[in-house]
Amino acid sequence: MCALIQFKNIIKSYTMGDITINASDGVDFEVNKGEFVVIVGASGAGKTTILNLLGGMDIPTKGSILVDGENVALFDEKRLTEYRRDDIGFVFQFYNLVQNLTALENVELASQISKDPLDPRNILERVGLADRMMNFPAQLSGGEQQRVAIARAIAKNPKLLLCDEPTGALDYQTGKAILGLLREMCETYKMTVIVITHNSALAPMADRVIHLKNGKVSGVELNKHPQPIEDIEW
Amino acid sequence: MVKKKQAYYKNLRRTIFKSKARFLSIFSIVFLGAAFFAGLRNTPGTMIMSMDQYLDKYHFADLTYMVSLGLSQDDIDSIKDTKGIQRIECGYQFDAQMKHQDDLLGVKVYSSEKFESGMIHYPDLLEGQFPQKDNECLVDQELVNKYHLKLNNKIKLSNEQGKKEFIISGIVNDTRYISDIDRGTNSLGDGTNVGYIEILNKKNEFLAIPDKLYDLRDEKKLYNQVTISVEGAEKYNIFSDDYDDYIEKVNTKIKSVLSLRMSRLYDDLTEDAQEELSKAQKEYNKGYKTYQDAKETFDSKMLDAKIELTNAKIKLAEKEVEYLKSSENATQQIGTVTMEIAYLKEQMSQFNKTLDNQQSGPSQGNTQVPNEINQLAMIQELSTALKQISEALEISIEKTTQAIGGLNQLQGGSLQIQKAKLEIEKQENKLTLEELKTTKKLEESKLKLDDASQKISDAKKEMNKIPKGKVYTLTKSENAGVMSFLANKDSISAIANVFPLMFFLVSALVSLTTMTRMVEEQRGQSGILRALGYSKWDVIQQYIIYVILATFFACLLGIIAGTQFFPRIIYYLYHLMMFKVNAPIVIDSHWMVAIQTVFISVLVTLIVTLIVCIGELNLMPSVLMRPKAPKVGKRIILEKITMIWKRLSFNQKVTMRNIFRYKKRFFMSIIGIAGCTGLIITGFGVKNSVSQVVNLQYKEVMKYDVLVRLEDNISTKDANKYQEKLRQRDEVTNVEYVLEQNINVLKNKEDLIGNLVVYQSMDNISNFVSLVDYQNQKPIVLDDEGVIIAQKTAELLNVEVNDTIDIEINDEKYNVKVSGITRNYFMNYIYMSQTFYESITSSQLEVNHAFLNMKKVDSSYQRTLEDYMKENDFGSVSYMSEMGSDFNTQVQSVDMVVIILIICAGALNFIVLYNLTNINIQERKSEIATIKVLGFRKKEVYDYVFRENIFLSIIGSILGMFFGYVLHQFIIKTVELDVTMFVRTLNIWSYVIAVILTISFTLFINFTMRRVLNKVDMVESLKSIE
Repeated sequence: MCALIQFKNIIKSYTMGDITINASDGVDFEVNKGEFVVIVGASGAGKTTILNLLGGMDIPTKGSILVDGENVALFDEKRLTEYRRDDIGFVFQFYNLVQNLTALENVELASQISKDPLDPRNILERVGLADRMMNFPAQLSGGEQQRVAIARAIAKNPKLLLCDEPTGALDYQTGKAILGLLREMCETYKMTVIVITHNSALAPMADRVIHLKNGKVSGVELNKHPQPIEDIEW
Repeated sequence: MVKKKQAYYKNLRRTIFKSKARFLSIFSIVFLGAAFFAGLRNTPGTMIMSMDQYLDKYHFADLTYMVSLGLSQDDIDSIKDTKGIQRIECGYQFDAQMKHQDDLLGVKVYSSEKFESGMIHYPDLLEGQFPQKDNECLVDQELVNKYHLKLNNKIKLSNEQGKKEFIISGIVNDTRYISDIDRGTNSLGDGTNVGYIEILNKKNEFLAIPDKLYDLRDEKKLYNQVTISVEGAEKYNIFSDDYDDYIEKVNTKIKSVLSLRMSRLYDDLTEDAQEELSKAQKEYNKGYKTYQDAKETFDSKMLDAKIELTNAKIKLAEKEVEYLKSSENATQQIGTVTMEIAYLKEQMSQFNKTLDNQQSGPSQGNTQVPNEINQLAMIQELSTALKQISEALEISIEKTTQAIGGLNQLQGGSLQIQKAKLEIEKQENKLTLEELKTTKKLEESKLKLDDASQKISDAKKEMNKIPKGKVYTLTKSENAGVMSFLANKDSISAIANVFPLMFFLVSALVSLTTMTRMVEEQRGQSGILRALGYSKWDVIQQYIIYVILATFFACLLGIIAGTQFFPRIIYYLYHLMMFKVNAPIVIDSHWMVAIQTVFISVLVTLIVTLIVCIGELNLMPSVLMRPKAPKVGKRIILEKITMIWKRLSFNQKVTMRNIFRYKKRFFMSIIGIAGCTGLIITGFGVKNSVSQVVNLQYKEVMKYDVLVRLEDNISTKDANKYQEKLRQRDEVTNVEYVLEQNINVLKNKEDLIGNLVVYQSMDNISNFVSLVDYQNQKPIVLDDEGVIIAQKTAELLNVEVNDTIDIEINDEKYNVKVSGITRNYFMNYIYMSQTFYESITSSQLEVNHAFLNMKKVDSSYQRTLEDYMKENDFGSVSYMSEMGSDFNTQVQSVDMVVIILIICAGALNFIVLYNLTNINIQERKSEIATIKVLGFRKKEVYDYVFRENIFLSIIGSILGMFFGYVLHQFIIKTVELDVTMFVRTLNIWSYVIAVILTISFTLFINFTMRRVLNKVDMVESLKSIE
């Protein structure tokens, strides 16, 4: 079976004045369909760059990114948009909900543009917000907001769910619950989930762990038996 | 101090540097506001400065005098030394017709002694050269363009005096015609001029001055115009009142000299006639006196004679009575005496018998002796008695004789009476004869007198035929081009007074939102500064410096740019459209404008900033340091109206929420957009209002087709004759002879010029003018109790129906009742009936104009009618269809106003929407980034943001309609002159076009703002917390 995602020698360089910094300096890895992947690395290891490239928000300076057989690195802006629209679900560290829309509306915002969306109410129920659907983000707690964000990402029914430090702004317990939710969603909807974190303690919950260091993959682990998040302490 | 706070200032510098967009946003709005304000305010000045310089450069005459009887060298000598004259030139101006293909085109011809630099009205030579020979000419550039003339073309000019062919030697602009629209009127042909032509005096005089004028004045050389440039006049701006005052001083002097000379000339010319006239007058007066005296004497004599006669008659009657009485007495007396005599006779005969008996008694008697003695005694006795009787008889006889004598005498008296009667009769007859004779004589002399008076009036008429030399003064106020330029400048001034303020309002609003956002964004920093121990003032100062830096320099730049740009563009447009002469622009910038601009711009923004800062910074540092909670999403009122809410699409719902979420921005957008729509509505509305006037006035209000000006005023009786004649013509359906004259309508400060129209018949008045109530449009009837006045007149005088107004006809003041106010757009018409006119002026109506309706207004009908009128000396003819061309100028200038308004509107809309959209995007960067990440296509992202703009535009447009309505009314009233009333209603198209344009502007802004949206970086925006 072919990998869903193949990163091949990705180089992404930023030019700051005279200095060129390679945020990704030849990244290679693969992810299979349906896997729960955790990408771990310290600050500045190039995690977010990977996520941006994978999420179609940026294109690499060099190398190819094959997603479901297509080379995203060669996409023009229009195709990238379509790619984000149809194939990617995003969960951010700061939730990035539209303040002016209710929880349900935030989910609808995403589901309305998708080809094959899931029912927003259904999803919200699934993430445990059946009672808060009509609330505005400001009326929700951090964890609840992140749940809305996850619901919004999943409602699009994407091939790939990308999460950038989803627990970064949350307390320990809530963070755990959110990770649990992500794992659950991964299994329920047979979705490929990639979580980026600096917290290597989360590694055991993943099917696949990719370690990043200085813009390069320093190691990949495969967990035959990932631990449930409840069992992990950090 | 500064050193101590080095870090503080460094921070400030960085703040500015980092928030370039915000800094630029304030900078740009203040820049634009200042540019608009300073630019528009400086435009009128620039316009008049530039044109003034042009007029000065080409020596526009300060004064021009035209004299109907021409100016001789003596006339000119008499004024040339008047103090204040810098240069004086003599020449001619006259009307002529230019042959062009089959047409005869009216042109105005000016001639000068010589074409040289420094001459008055120095032509601005565009091509070719100045005429050197008498048959060369300069031609108006407009004329050249319009009829495709070229240098060296030949043109034929003709008028009543003669004709001549000229060669075009040069093409020019002339200061007398700075506007390319108005070329004035012509006394020949159809009455309009298509251009002007300039030639040399020499050998061309004959075209200007009719031969009979030379004869009349007994001069060899005459001019008909003299142009003067006044010393020191160039110091004043020709459009200023100071200039008028300055020129007027010189004008008064010259005009009085010329007028005096002309009245002397008149006296000279009419000397003989005058003498004869006065002689005749004297004679007449004498004859009249003699006649009067004779008549009086005759009358008194006649009276005396009649009195005498009557007295005689009375005496006669008395005598007759006396005579009758005496005659009766005498007859009576005679009767008595006769009876006495008869008695005495009887007695006497008895006595005689007795006496006889006595003598024969003895024979008879016994007593002879005694008897004898007795007898003797008896005889003695008897004799005595007889003697006595006889004596008595004698007395009686005498008495009778006397009586008879008296009777005889009486008889004679009766005769006398008879004689006297005859005498009286004779006298009477004599008197009658005398009377008849005298009356006849008087009658004769009366006839003679009448003859004399006829002669006098004939002589007077003859004298009237000798023309009076009229002096016409032309100053800049009589120059249509200059005046239309001035009018245009005034309308720009009106705009300059209103619109920049709107930009200030908008700039205040933009500053408000921008600064609010800045202060809010930086509250954390402010908190830190406060916590570090900086005073509140230090923090506020930071913003104040920021604002001053932004506004002050923006303002300075705005003043410079605006003053350079706006006057230039407006002037350029005017140049392009109306004033094609090459008057280079001279920017006029007034320091007061600059100070005002700085003051308003900086102050407005500063105050706004202070309000925001103080509100924010009153919080405790600890509160400040905590981020302000993001604006909470809220349900809007609309959601409660489920009926509507349900029907909205998801996107529409989002739009609605967003619009109502930021109220400040909402109101600002609405104000800006409403302003935009309002301005456009005003622009088109004003254009419509002005351009409709001609149509309405000359088609709907005045319904006659032809206006005939009579040479003289004629009586209504004569008019009726003409009227009949005209009415019988085929071309004519209706005729009315009227009196139409300018009168003064008295007003508090300045009198109005009114147009009095007096109609003879009320029956078909509706064929010539539509008199309808200005409010309910119902027809009103011209009655014999008052006048009907125009709507605008009523407005200016502030009167209503049944009020009274004071008017002055031929210098007589009358107070008349207003019996109606009619719809009218042009001129202060005052309508009167003949009856009313005659009753207030107590004089017979004399008419001077005729209104005609034609069966069909076409050229063949016109020609036949014109020919007929010319043949029969009816007067000069003009067609209503050609009237109102003066208005073209005004309409054209309004086009300018429309363009400027639309530019202003577009700019306003752009500034507002640009700034707001910008702020909107900046504020919602992360939201936009989010939806981008979610995979919204470009167009969906645009829609997501710009749908709000469209919606705001729609609401703004609707409000703008109200605003436009108000503004339109204001502008219309500002630019209206005393004699015009523009259509005050707005037409539906103004609204429609304004809304379409506003929305288009918005779409355009949306289009340009796409770039900004595209630039929102997903990755960057997602990193930070909102």
